[in-house]
Amino acid sequence: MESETMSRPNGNNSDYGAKGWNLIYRELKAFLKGALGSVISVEFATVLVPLLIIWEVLPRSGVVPETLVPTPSKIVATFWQMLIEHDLPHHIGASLVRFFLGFSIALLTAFPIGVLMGWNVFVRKHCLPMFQILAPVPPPAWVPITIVALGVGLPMQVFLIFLGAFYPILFNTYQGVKDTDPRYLASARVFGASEFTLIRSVYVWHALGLVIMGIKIGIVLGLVMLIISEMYGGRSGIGYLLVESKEYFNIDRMVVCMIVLGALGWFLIEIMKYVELKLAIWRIGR
Amino acid sequence: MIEARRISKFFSIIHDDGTAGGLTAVLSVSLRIEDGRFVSLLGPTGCGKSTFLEILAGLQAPSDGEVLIDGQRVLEPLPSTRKEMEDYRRRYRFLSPIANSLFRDRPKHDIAMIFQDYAVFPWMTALQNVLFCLKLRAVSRADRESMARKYLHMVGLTGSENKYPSQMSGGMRQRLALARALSVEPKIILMDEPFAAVDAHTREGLQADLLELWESTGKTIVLVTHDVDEAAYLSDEIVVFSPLPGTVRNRLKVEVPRPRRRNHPTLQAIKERIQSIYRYDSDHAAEYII
Repeated sequence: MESETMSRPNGNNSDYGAKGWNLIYRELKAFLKGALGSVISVEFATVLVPLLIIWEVLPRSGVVPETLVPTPSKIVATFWQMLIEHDLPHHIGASLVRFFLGFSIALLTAFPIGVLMGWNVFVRKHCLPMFQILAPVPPPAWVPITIVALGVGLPMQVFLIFLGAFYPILFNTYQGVKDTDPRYLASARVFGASEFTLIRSVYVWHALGLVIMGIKIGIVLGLVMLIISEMYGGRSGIGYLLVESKEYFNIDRMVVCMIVLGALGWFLIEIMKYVELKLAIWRIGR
Repeated sequence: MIEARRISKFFSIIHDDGTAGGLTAVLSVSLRIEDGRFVSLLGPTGCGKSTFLEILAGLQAPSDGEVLIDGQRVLEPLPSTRKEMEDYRRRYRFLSPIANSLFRDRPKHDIAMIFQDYAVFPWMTALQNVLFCLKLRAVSRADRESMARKYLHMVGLTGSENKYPSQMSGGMRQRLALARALSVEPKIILMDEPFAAVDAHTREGLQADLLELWESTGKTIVLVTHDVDEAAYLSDEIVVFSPLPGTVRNRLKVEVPRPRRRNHPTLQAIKERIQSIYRYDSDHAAEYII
């Protein structure tokens, strides 16, 4: 939206006029409240706590073999140990860098291509068939040829993550833009909107919900490809840690890796939810 | 002045049994609307009058005929020969004929349109909706806000500037659409059943507002409606459309001085005349099938 109409806070309420650090602090608080609110609640605790207790008690009492099912207390201890001795932050950092490189390249290419394809029949007829042919190839099927072409290392990992995230973002954006209600287009055209203005102020806003949905699916598939690419090659990353713990039969470490991955995915999805909330205030009233 | 010359519009449709067929929505309608007039297009729902209005606005290309606004052609008619069609396709292969231009915001004609279901943008607040339209008309940035507030005040939306359309009632959305159309100060306003979705009381209020605005600004208004009362009360001239295919069935001048009373005897006579036309049409429906 045009910045001059968007950046007008409603009135002189001091809390909404916050600037600089205050603003960051307030937004961060709102984000954490929204993200953690669903996890830290009495209702969820009544489900989670008994589950944790059962998980702790069953291996200890010998109902299930303790060697195969590590208890939560042992997992916490392992997590702490990995954090301090085995450089877990370094591996998480390496994975995140790869993920964000691949994901940002996917977002920066898929979104504009999707918008152009949805907007214009000429572009659509030229580009869409190629993507329709390529998209059904499951991203993991690209692993062998990528390793042959790019070798083992960062370029291969980034490319695989890009492949995972690209198509969901592309097709959701395309669908959202294509399905834009013609009434809105007609009303903007009567007032004289150029095609560029239509894209910027009508198409993209109408498609926003589907775009964010596509980004969420892209995040999930990007994480899948992150693990696959790190399992096949690399000396760092959570996927590498997983394979390494398999080699040594460290089940507790595997579980820690899985929990870290779950938390990562959850956190990224929560960020997208927050972005959606910020961009689509107009939908809340519905 | 709006001049429509022999406008026809055909659609291809699919029948219930799966066969393809043609539908004539508008058949050879010629109309001339002078500046400053209030003209109603009256007809039963689904008779092609909305299609006709969209053709006037340049949102659909007519299959045949042409529309001139102040002597300037709105859209060229669709091609009829194979040679013309190839030409047409080549010319418009990238941008559709109804598009304005790629980067420059400039309306083709000085018109505004209000749609049946308002079509105000749900992702903008009331104020942003009006500002957006003003920006498209290249109103300078300094004037935009004061103009937008002025027109929102005029339709009685002061205090709701920062509401989103989803937070408004149907009547308020209708007022917003009206404010948006008026704010760009067009010479011609086209309205497609603007009061169909609001309750009777609100409708009378909005009609009174509209008349007041029309009398004070002297714009040309073309109103599409299926409501006989509304057409008779508001307009200078009523163009009665027949049921499909939409053709001009009759034209009635309403020569009642303003301000009018709703139950003025001449208005009653006009209403009865229109109703008798419809009754005759439905009694003799078979004779109209082509």
